Parts: sequence; C-alpha cells; structure tokens
Amino acid sequence: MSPSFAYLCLGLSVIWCFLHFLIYILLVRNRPALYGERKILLYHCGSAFACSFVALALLIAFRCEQRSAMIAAGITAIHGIYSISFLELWSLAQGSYSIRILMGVQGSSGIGRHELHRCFFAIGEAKRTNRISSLSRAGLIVSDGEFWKLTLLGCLAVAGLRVLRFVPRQIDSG
Amino acid sequence: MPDYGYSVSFRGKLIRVDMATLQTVFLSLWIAVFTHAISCRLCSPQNSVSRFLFVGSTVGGCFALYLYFALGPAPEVFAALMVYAACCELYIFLFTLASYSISANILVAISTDGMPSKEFDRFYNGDLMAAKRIERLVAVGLMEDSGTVLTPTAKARRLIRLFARLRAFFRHPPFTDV
Repeated sequence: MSPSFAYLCLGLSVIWCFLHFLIYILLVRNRPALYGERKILLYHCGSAFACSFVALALLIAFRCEQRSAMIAAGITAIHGIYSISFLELWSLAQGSYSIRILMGVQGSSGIGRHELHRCFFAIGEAKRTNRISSLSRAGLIVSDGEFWKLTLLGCLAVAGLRVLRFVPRQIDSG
Repeated sequence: MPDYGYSVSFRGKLIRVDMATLQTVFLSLWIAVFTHAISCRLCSPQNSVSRFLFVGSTVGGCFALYLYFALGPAPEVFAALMVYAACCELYIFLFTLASYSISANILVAISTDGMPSKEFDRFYNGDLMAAKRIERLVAVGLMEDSGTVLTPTAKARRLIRLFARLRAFFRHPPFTDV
C-alpha cells in the first residue's frame, strides 16, 4: 500500500464522518420520527459498521501487505472518536441529571438545599424507576417482589464496573 | 523501529500486521491509564476527567514525537494517533459511565448478594440521588453553598449556556419539570 493511498483512506473516513454529521443536521434532527436514544445510536452504529466494513474490504481487495492493520484501525478509530463524542454530547444535553439541577438552580435566585432536594426528588424517582425497568428488561437484575438480585449477566457487569471504578478510584455519586 | 510484525493468510493473500505501531499504541495507553490511577490516589479523585485529559495528552504528545522520529511523516503515525485518541476517549466514557451513571449505581448498590426491595428503596431513592449530585456539584466547583442557599458559579453558568445551545442544536424538547 502506497502512503498516498493510505492517506486517501484516512481522509475518506474523515469525509465520511463529516457527511454523516451533515445528513444529521439537514435531515435527521428535524424529523421527530427519527428522534430518540435508540434511533440515534442505530444511526451511528450502522455508519460505524459500514465504515469499518468498507475499510477492511478495500484494504484486503487491494492486497495490502504493510500498514493494512494500522490503517484499518485508524479508519475505525476516526469514526469511533466522532461517534462517541456525538453520542455523549447528545445524551448529556438530552437529560443529564446534574445539568438539570444546575439549570434549576440558575432559574431561581439562590435556592436552599432542602428545597432543591424537594424539587429534584421527583425527577430522581422517575429516573430510578425508568432505569430499574431498563435493567430488568436487559436481563441484568430480577425481582421476586420482595428481593432484588443480580443475574449472572448483572454480576459480570458489576465486576466490570468495579474494575472501571477502581482504576481512577471513583466514588459513588448517585 | 524494530519489526515485530507478523503475517496472516486471508483467502490466499498474505496480510502483514504491523505489531510495532500497535504495541506502541497500547503501551502508551497503559502508561496513561496507570499514571492517571496513580495521580487519582495521590490527590483527590474529583476532576478525574480533566486529570486524565492532562495525562492522556502529555503521553499522547510523547507518543506522537516517538512515532514521528521512528517512522517519519508516514500515514501509520496519523492512524496510530487516532487509535490512541479513540482508546482514551473510550476510557473516559467508560469510567465516567461506571461512576456517574444511574444504572451503574443501581447495579453496584444491589451488588452480588442482592437487596430487599424495601431496603433498596430506602438506600437508593430520589432524595438521596439528588443529595449526592448536589454534593458533587459543590465539590467540583459548579455550585456555591453559602450555608443557606445554593448558587451556580461562573463556570456553571458557562456550562449551562453551552448545554442550552446543545439542546437547541440537537432539537431536544424543553424540560417541563424544572
């Protein structure tokens, strides 16, 4: 593989991401039917899979011997950076609990702790109920009515979460 | 750079996997994560994201210089930096998800031994969730607690303006319950 072809592949993946973003701006965001966490996730996953598949297919078809793995990984990484940044900002802007609390505090001219707790109690409860049903549906937790338990999948997820919390020594933040 | 590559056969075609560059990417990532872990233990774990941004970009800068001197202006250098940046972003996403996501906190609260529903409601309720978030917002300098009232800081006001613009950009419906 020549360096110019490798640069072309990397450049095309940047253009791909730019076009994907442009389509979102012009078409997707203005259609309420395409609004929703799952739909946006699918929109990005589909593009990421297509980008990776095209990259690998091109590299193999052109009988690339050197550089191929690194360039294919680079193409996928460019899409990864774009998609993770986009989805993180999208979901934070949609309903981050901390941002909602800050917006609530800004809306008032100074608010007491107890009053703030009272205001955001309902949102916290709604979020908790919503997440419990999502975790149940995903098969991570089960309840017999009186007792909540983790499934095997849930135990694995908790083990992963504990490792991720251990590395930067994170504390429980609700 | 020494040649640590190996070849794999795919449909009769020989594909070379450049291990030296890939190994350097993962070694740099490991150094960044390890340094981040050490720094979080030496100081307060608050602001761990900005701390990782500093550590990750410093290691990334050294990594870029090393690759440039080893390979010159080759496309692999750009590709390797993209892989490193994507891994760093994924790491930040994962550890913030593990620490601040409500679902992750519920899973950890239930833990492996399980939890009676009543105890769970007492241990993990809307009031406690709000209290923990408020504590954290005060700790990271986004809210000021004067003892009687809570007010957003200048940094928080900038953040709120940014998110208001983002909400408009993404066409999110307005909050009806704040």
